Amino acid sequence: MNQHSAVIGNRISRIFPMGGTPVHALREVSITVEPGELVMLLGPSGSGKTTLLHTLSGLEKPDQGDVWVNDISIYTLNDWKLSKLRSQYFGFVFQSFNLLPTLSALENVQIPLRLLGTKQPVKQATEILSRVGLAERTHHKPSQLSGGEQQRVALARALVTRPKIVYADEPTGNLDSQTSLDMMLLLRELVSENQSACLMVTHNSEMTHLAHRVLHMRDGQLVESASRAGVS
Amino acid sequence: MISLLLRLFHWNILRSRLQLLIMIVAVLGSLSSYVLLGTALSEMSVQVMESMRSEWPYDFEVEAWFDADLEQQISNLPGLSRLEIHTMTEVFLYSETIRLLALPKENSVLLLELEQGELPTFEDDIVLPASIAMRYGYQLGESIQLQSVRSINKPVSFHICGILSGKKGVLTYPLTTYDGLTRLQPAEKLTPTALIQLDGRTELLTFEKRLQNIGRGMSIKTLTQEYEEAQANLTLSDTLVNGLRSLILMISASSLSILLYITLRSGAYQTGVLRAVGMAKPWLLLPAFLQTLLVFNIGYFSTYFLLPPVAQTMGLMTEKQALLQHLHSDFWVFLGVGMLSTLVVQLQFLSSSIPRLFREAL
Repeated sequence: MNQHSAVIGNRISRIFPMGGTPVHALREVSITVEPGELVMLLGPSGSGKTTLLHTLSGLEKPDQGDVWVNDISIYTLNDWKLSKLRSQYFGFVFQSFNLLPTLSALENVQIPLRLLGTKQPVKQATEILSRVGLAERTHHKPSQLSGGEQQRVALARALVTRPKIVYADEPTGNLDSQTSLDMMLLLRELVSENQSACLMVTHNSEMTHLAHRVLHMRDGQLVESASRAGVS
Repeated sequence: MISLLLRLFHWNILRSRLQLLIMIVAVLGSLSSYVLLGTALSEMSVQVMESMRSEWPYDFEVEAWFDADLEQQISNLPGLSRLEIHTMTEVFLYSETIRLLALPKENSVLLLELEQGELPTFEDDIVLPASIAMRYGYQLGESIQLQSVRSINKPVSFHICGILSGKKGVLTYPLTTYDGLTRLQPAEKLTPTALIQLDGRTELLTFEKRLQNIGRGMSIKTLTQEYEEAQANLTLSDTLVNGLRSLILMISASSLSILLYITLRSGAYQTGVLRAVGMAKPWLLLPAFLQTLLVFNIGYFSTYFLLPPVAQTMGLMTEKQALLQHLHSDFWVFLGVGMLSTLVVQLQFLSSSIPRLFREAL
């Protein structure tokens, strides 16, 4: 296994029992994401995009195959170690902004830092919030922020630990087109700054020009791959 | 990390204020019922047990020269339900030997229901039980001659001032005053007798050993066969009480579990996110336990203030202090059940995969 890759999925299969009938969500999918690479995963609903993202990010154990990060087969770890690995190496941005409503933007961003026991979490969280353009909104609760602002807080939370890879599941799904574009540009910029990789699930094919590589999924398999070497 | 956990605890409470309120009310209701029903049924079973006792409802007679220290030592013995110190002697009535009692103190369990006349006041007054009056044909106002078994003095004459009822449970020994007894036997020879009633749960032999361990030259006499029947009845009612209490506990635990689960479900998405970003399961258990502690403590203090007036309204005889002691000891059982329910519900909830938490929330 290549130690330098951000994540490697090796012949991953996932089967869900649906009313007694097994449904193959993933069929022996192999995928490698390199550091600094922005990979978009497209495909129709039910094609297995989100399941692949969950499996690669240590959220859902595959029935077959394994996932490697830093030469570690992550599903051999117990829950405690896997949780720690997620907090160290992975960042997450979801479609629903999923911020804790009773915490301010600053406190939400501090969560991964506090889980890692980082010194000066407030300073780091403030810096990244400034970087996403929310320096003036750090003490606002999620309910006091717009959808775009909430997603920027979620992005700041995903990147504050400088993760090896950011997993984004439809991060612009609840945003209008201009905010979506702003959000994507910001995501690409920050990922590049951090030298993190990013694997993004999206329905939005209009954004594919921002990716380094675009993968298509159908019926639980990767069916098409397109590299865009010129993207920077 | 601690501050994050406290914020999560804060979030737990704020996101489900209505459920929290319902949980507190549920704890208040179930804890009150648990304590009140348990106390009421225990009172009832003790009363039933006492009503099945004979007119001499004691299990041990202990003769000794009692002082405050000895009385205290006996009172503190586990299993003792009642301790009365009486003065009595044995007398000849014709060829029969009978026991003659000094009028007991007011708190005695002895039933002194008169059919005629009144209780003894003067040293030559005597009250006869109905059975003796009938057997020897004595009437109210007549005299009766008694001679002490333990002295060689001449027979002493008493004036019959009352006749006890012949109803079941009424005392079947004659009664006089303490001074009346000293006419038959000098005061220094009237050894006081401690009459002991057990709680119906302790074994006679066990209690006898405890008495013997005190020493002090006591003469101990085990009295009753009826105690075994009382024990059996009490065991039956104890089983009933425990059964009902367990039922209340189970209903409480189930309702709390359901409420907890509903609360957890309402925060499933955020819980999923927290786990995704690296919060391990044990950290998520802590805020939930804190929440349960909070609910039970508020429930306890609400019950503490509400229980005495409710018990009074229900006509329970148990004193306020005893009732609150019941509440205090029962609370720990309740809290244990609450914590266990929280643990089970949380483990069940957290055993779901993270994507499932996301799906359930949608």
